[in-house]
Amino acid sequence: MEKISALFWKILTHVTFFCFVSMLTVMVFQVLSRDIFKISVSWTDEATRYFFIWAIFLGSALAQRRGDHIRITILIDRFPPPLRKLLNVVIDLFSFCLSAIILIGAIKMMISTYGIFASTIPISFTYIYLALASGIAIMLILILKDILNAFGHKKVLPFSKEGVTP
Amino acid sequence: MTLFALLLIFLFVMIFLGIPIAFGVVGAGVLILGALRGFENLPFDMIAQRMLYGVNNYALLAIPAFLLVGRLMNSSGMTDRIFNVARTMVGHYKGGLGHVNVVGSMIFAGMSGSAVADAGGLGAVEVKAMTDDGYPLEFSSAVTAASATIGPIIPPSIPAVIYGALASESIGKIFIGSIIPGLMMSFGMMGIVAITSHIRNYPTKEKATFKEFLKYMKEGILPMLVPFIIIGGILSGIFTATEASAIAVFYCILISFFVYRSITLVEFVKVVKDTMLDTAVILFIIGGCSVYSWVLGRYQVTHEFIGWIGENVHHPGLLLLYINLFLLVIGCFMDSGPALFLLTPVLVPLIKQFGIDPIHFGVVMIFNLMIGLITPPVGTVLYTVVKVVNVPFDKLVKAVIPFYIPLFITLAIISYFPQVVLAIPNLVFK
Repeated sequence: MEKISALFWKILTHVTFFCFVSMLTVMVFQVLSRDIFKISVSWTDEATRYFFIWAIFLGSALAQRRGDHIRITILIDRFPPPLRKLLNVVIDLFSFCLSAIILIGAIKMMISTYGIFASTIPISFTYIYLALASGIAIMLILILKDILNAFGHKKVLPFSKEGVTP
Repeated sequence: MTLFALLLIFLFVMIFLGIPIAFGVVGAGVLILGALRGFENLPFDMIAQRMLYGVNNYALLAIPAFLLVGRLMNSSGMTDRIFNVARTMVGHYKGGLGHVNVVGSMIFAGMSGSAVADAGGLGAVEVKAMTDDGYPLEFSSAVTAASATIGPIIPPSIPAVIYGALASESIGKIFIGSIIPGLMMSFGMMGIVAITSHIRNYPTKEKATFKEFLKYMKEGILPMLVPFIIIGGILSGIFTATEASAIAVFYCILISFFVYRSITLVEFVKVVKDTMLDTAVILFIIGGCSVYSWVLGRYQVTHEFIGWIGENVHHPGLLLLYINLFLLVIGCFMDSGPALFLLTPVLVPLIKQFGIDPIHFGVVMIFNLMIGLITPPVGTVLYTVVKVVNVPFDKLVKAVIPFYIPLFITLAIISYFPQVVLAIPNLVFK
């Protein structure tokens, strides 16, 4: 199980990395071709955005695993550990419900956009909503695991960092 | 009003209790939807659609691109080159390295749009040089922290991209409008450095000979071209902000791999991976914000809020004053990113109603939140500096105080003389 899980995260990281780098590459290619060589290639705009969407939602799942999502911990860090633990469970339950809502919505959109295609690339919107659905589904599982861990063990969950500041 | 007040209080309580910001904003939206239509009738598909469409925006691609440029500059040693150029320019004044610190940040600000990238990368170089020269650690780390806030004011700027995307305003205009405020704050900080150095008799570097100047200029010229590509490209109308970010990435990869060969492939992959995660985290929140601002607009919540403010505040100048004070307080307790995400969708419709230009307001709001980066108890740039140079937090806070003076003066000027911000964008973007 451990091995499968490690493999899964490795593959996910590679896929996300691929999407992210492809996004940057197509983006640079588009600007160079349009503004320097004055050739406009029709599919680049949509391609960059769709790679971007995949990179964002798969990346969010990776960030969830590392506890990288931005939260404000100035108050919670001052609470006594038992209260902190309780609050973390409440937060996880809340996040779980919201992820479930988003996941249901994403699946509904995947079904309803099956016949709708992007204008310059022959792919259905289903595959774009699939990015949201799969990213959120992985996050949902991770949150569930956190909740179960909190009930199972005595240890206080590690805290996420304050996060990135633009 | 009651609905709005409840929502906002609930949102702030949740966020301060530590819920991830992205879930906090989606949660606020879902709660209003539930209260108004019943939880069994939640428009699941609209929530997902909003979330996806919030990030399906070409302009937002500038965020990963500028993040990557800032990181590349730091990890490929370009910051040393920038520091050397700044030293030959202003090192010979009283308190020379203090001025070098500010000028270095100004140059770096033209390449990177992040204050943390400035404090964490260039900052370390600057503090080390100043310590070697006999400056007290508090002073050198305070100059570093204060001047790091120039990063997101002088274009490019990640907060400007976020604001522009959330408010549907031109990012290029905000970039260009921030140039003068950026210069004003920089010169103000150099004034503080000059005064402190005269009082405490800080050292002076020998004036660089013209030959030395040329030598360092030659070494630093390639990274120094980045600001000209970005700002020049936008000013001349050749590039949009996003296109400029793509060109900047391409250019930085070219010079760090092929000209200076100062980064290995392994290091590069790590830099890209870090940028990828930061991007995902920021953009996931932007997706969540799009659910939240859709609900605010769709169910007239903002409308009610504007009505309520309109009954109590009658003058735009007074409104700006209240907003500024509110943002300064928020900035003490909240990081600039979350504050921008939560408040832009609420404040922009409000200021528009009062006839305040959203480009002007954007610059004022971002400036205000950048002050928040160096105010305790939550000041991300302060923490970054503490981590990088190991200065005690309370000493750093005390030493930073004089630098609030030029920041507050600049904030007051840009708030009440909109032309300072709007003159160049209005001239350029006809």
